[in-house]
Amino acid sequence: MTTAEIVDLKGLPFELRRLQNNSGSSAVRHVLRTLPMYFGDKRAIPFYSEQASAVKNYSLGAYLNARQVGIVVLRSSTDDTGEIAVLAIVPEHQSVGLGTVLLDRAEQEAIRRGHKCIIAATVGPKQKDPNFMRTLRFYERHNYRMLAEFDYMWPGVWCAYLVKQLGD
Amino acid sequence: MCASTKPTFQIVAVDQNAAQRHLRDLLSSLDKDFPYTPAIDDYCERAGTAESTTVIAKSGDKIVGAAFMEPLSDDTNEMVVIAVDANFQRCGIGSALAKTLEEITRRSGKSFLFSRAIGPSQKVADDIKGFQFLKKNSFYFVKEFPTLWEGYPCAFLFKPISSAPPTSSYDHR
Repeated sequence: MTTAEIVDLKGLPFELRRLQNNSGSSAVRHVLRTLPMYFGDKRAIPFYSEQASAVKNYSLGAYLNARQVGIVVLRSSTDDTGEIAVLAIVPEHQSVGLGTVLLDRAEQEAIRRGHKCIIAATVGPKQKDPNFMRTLRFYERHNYRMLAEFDYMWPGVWCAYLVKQLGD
Repeated sequence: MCASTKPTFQIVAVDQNAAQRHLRDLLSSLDKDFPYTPAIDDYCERAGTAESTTVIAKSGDKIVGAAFMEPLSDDTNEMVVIAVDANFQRCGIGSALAKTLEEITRRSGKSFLFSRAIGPSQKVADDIKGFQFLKKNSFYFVKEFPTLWEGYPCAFLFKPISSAPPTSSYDHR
């Protein structure tokens, strides 16, 4: 832990903490296990928890009463681009604005790193998965636009690249 | 390489038949950059579809460059090929072709021009000319995929298309 911040959302005091290495990795595993509708593939949780443990990545955890309830991980894909590697909130604390706060902090970090844009890859609309349609609408509400949807990135799944310009 | 006196050239949009013909002639002449005939066949076939847009650069009667794009999504076109005659490279023709495709994209109400190129982790300088060209033309480097293309890293790049009024002309004299 290097910094902590309290944000009040609908009367609840969520604590945001910078996470590093193993703490980020275990936080990702904890949150993603509560979301099998998004991360049910057995390869998903090890993959995303590895993202949180990478030294250069930015991981921010959200806690309520010392319990892990959310996580965001930003990685620098290139000098130009930051990527939301993971953004997840446990089911019982969705729709209170916590995802918005975590996304905002990741965007601020991307700006601090000098990135010109930020991307998020998610399951695309052609997959017609209602859970991921919610994800797409979430990013659209935060001014992400769909760059394109690809059928060759993830086996058997449409992958949408969403993009937002930063700073202009 | 461009001569000391820069040539005058004009960028024009062409129909699908002309697109296929000019692309084939041009790409076949650039055997270092486009060594695979099946790839040229694929590009020509795609440039011949109704959805694609092809522009060429003419210097006098000579075709000295060509580029084509196709729709990738409601908001994005993909610039698939951009090529300039070996004797006319570094004259600004490639940039003029790209700017013309950007302008057509803008007029169609789309927000992004996307392109793929061999990525910068490829250490052979000649192989990353396309990537460097796109960066020079203000494309953002999104991500590099080491295994998407057999034997080459694949870089994704895009350029946000401003909704501001056009500032460039199709003529470059």
